[in-house]
Amino acid sequence: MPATVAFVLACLLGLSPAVALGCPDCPLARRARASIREDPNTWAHLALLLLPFVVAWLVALWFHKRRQTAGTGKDG
Amino acid sequence: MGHRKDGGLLAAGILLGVGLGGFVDGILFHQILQWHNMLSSRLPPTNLLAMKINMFFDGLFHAVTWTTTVIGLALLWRGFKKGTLPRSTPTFVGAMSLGWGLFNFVEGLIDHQLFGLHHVRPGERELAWDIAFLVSGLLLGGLGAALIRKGRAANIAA
Repeated sequence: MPATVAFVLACLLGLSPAVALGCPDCPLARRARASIREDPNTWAHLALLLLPFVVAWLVALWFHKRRQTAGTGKDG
Repeated sequence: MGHRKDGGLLAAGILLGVGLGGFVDGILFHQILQWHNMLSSRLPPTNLLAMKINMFFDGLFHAVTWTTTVIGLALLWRGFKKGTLPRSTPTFVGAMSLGWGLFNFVEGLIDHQLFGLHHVRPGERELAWDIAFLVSGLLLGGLGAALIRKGRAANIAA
């Protein structure tokens, strides 16, 4: 899955836009790919899609590094 | 009775909560109810072309959600293999609830309120739905924090 996402992002960068969307190469698919590629807001949309995840990842990382001591033993 | 660091369990739980909460959003709101899509307020899916573009961004959303879930599972598995994680159900469930709430709140704030990529349920009452989504994040986060505290207290007392 991560490899697929990286591949698709690389395609959007213009390396091979024809495979950016894995659907039949019909006129509608070509238009969809072109719209995504040519929309000046595509990268902003991607950034906004990712931003909430990045915040959550940073919070998880903070907890992971903090490693506060807790008791262990029987299942609570 | 030993004491172990619970940071790894909290981090894993938060990531799993973000992932599973993201899947609830995507499966329930994007696909089953079809209330919104990732870019539906910028590019309303009123024709097949707009729908395909929205579907592409929905797919990216699910891919990142899936990746987050896998990282959470990997952290959990690594901690259990090393035997370094406390086995506390309230702590783990609380961390997942905290993660889900955190995601709802941050995603709601950024994508709904600040940048208007989409709204929970566009229409006359869209602000009410958006606020309800933010409140759900706060409630889930509060519940998670309470469960984490309970888990710590129970384990330390044991």
